[in-house]
Amino acid sequence: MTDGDVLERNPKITRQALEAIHDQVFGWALSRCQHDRMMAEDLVQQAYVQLLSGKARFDGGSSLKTFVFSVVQNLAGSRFRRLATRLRFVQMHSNDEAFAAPEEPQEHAHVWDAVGALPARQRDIIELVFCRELTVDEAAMVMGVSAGTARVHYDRAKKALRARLENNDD
Amino acid sequence: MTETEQRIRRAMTSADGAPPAFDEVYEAARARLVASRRRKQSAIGLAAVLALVAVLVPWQSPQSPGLVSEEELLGTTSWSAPSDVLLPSRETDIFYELPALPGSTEPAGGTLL
Repeated sequence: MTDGDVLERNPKITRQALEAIHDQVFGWALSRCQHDRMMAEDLVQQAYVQLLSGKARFDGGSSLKTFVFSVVQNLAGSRFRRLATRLRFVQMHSNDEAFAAPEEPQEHAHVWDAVGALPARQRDIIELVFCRELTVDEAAMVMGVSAGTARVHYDRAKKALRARLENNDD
Repeated sequence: MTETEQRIRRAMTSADGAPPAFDEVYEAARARLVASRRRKQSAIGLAAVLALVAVLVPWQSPQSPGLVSEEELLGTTSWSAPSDVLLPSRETDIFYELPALPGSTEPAGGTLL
């Protein structure tokens, strides 16, 4: 590691460390943006700006991946809160946060249907644990909930998914 | 990880596609930060210049019509108010209107006032 690799305002982060988790961060950003790739790229860029400027300062209290995921989650939250204010009418007519499944081959359609039917929190924890390889505790940090709450969401989500997928397979 | 979990994982990660190159995103973020700092610095500079101008250039208030002409005042020993608007409409004549003055020698009720 050379001095040039360390982020000036975030001395505990190196460019290489960020690069190592970039794909995962982008995947997480993608799911925060209803799978809109341009928005996701912008979101990741914004997250890197926060890290470069030191606005989001990593103190090593968690893994870097958990930290960067949290930054993305917060940025997405504030962005969508702004949008939600404008689109309150739409929200009034939906029971849950909008979920847009990406265009996928038929083989994954059942899975996406089952995932899409979950409440937002359960969807998030399933994604963080199954796809982004975080532990339930780390996922709790990203989602900003207690570990106990995260575990409850995780168990319920797993049960619901198992039931739905087994029904579909029959 | 069970088979169902693996299936979910395959399905969900397949939607990620190919992420944009890290270098591209990182450099774009860096450029964005530099641009925003530059904008902030120029805004601070502009504010400083405006503050300096405000301090150095005295504000020119429009010339208000003077109630008192300095030349007229210095050129004469008498002066009258240019307008009596502000003067009380009723004047008091102390000789006629004030009641008995302390200097009176008239007795009132057996005692001198």
